[in-house]
This record gives sequence, structure tokens and C-alpha cells, in this order.
Amino acid sequence: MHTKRTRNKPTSSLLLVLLFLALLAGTGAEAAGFRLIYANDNLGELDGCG
Amino acid sequence: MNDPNQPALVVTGGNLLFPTDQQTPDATETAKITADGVLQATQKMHATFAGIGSHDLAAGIAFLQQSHKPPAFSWLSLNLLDPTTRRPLFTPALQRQVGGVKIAILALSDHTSFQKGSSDFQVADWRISLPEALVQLKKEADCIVLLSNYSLSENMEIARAHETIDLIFQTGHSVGNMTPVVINKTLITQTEIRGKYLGVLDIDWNGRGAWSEAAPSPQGKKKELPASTYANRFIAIKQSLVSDPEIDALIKQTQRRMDKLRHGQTP
Repeated sequence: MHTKRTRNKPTSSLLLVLLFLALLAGTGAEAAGFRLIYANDNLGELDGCG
Repeated sequence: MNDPNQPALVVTGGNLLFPTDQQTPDATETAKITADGVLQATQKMHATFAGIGSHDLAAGIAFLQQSHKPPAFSWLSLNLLDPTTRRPLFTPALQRQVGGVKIAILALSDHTSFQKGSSDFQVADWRISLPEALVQLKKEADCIVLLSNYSLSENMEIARAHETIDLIFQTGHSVGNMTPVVINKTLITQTEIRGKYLGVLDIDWNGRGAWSEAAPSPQGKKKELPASTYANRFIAIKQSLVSDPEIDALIKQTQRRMDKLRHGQTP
């Protein structure tokens, strides 16, 4: 029993490392989203005031 | 993409204040009141900077300097220079952090619009001003945005010469709403002039390099991300849009000031 458990430990650790690496890789591939709101000349309504 | 809660930045490219490069003496005071209202409205819409286009100088440098109050509001131009020191008269470039992306914003005024010259300022050719500035900004920022008062042909030349510029927002030229085009590694776009439209550009930033237009992914399949993607749309500014009470009050206040001026009173 005891010997069996010791043998499993490296496998579990390896799986954990693989999972961690996969998560890190996933984070790296994720793009950052943002929005740019833009206009040309002024922003509209007051243009008609003059 | 198209998440209404995603981080956003208001980008005002230039030619914000006046409709032409030159004002007649009679029109100047009226135009200044309108310009003041436009600027206040722009700031209420959370704009904290604007590029300097040739029209913005119609009432002189001093008028523009009155509203240049960093960090609340900054006028930007890399190549509008003090004729004595040859240093920029306003903020040449600034940085904003938007959704984890460090964005450098710089602006160019069109030097070809100022052939007559002025004792107050000089406008340098972008070929002189841009290279050195980009070397520094490339180190400091993830994404470089240029607000350009130059024409499309000139902006295409800028994009071909400087692939570190990721986006160019073009202002002051009447080519209508321009579907974004990719030149080299730069996305160039502009809305119709005179504030008739707002442009909304949603970006999934995946680092400097190639651009591709966002397309819906096949269901259940994660999209590959070799490039930054974008989705652009133009929103027409119509009278039927629900107005903002603060902006309405501002318009009325501006109209009252102009009426006073017309009747010979102090606005």
C-alpha cells in the first residue's frame, strides 16, 4: 500500500504542472479587449449654434 | 467583442473647435463662444485629450492654451513647435491604460496647411518629428495610436514608413465614413466630418503586428488568435437620439451667450 502511494506521487505532480502550464498558455493566448470611440471634427450638436 | 462593459477610451482626433482655418474678425467672438461650448461638451463625454488640427488654430495659439490643462484636458501635437526653441508647444504624446493595454496616443498637425507661416508657431514635417518619438513610445507602450490631421494619402505613407504605429485616426478630411483599411501593420479609419457620426472600434488586442477583421467563430470552436482583431461601426448622430440633460443645458447656455453677444451685451 505504502509503496503504491509513493509511486503515484510523481504522476500527480506532473499532471498538476501540466494543468498549470496549460492554464498559463491559455492566459497568454487571451486577447485584451477594449473599445475606442472616435469622432472627426467636433462631436455634433453645438456645431449648429453659430 | 461588442461587450458594452468593456474598457473604453474617447478619442477626439482634431479640428474640434472651429469650422475653418481662418476666422473673420466679426466671426471670431461668436466662434470662440461656440468653441468653448464644444470643448465643454467634449469633456463631459469623458474626453481628456484632443489632437490639434489646422482649424483649431483659427483663433490663435493663446486661445488654445487657455484650455490646455493637463491632466484634465490636453491638446496634443508632436509637430506644432515653438519657433524659437523648436520644442512642442503642447503635449506631444500621452499614455492611457485601457483594459490592461498600455496605449500611447500622439498627434500630428498637417504641416502643409500652414504654408503662410506664423510668428507664434511652426509646424514640422512628420518625417522630421515622428521617427525619434516612435523609438521611445515603442519601448513604453503596447499599442501606439496616431491622431492625424494629414490626408489619407499622407497617412498611408506614414503607415508604410512606420509599422510601429498600430492605429491612425484621421481627421478633418471629407472622405465620409471610412471603412478601416490596413496599410502595412496600421489600421486607418475616420468618420464623416462635422461630428455627424461616432465611430466605435472594438479591439481584441493580441499584440503588435497583423490586423484582421473580427468574424463570428464557428459554434463551440475557439478562434485562433494570430492577430489583433477589430470590429468597427458608425453611429449616426440624429436629432431623434435621446439627449443628455447636461449637454442640453450646455447647448442652451451657449445659445444664450451668443444671443447676448448679438445684442451687444457681455456674453
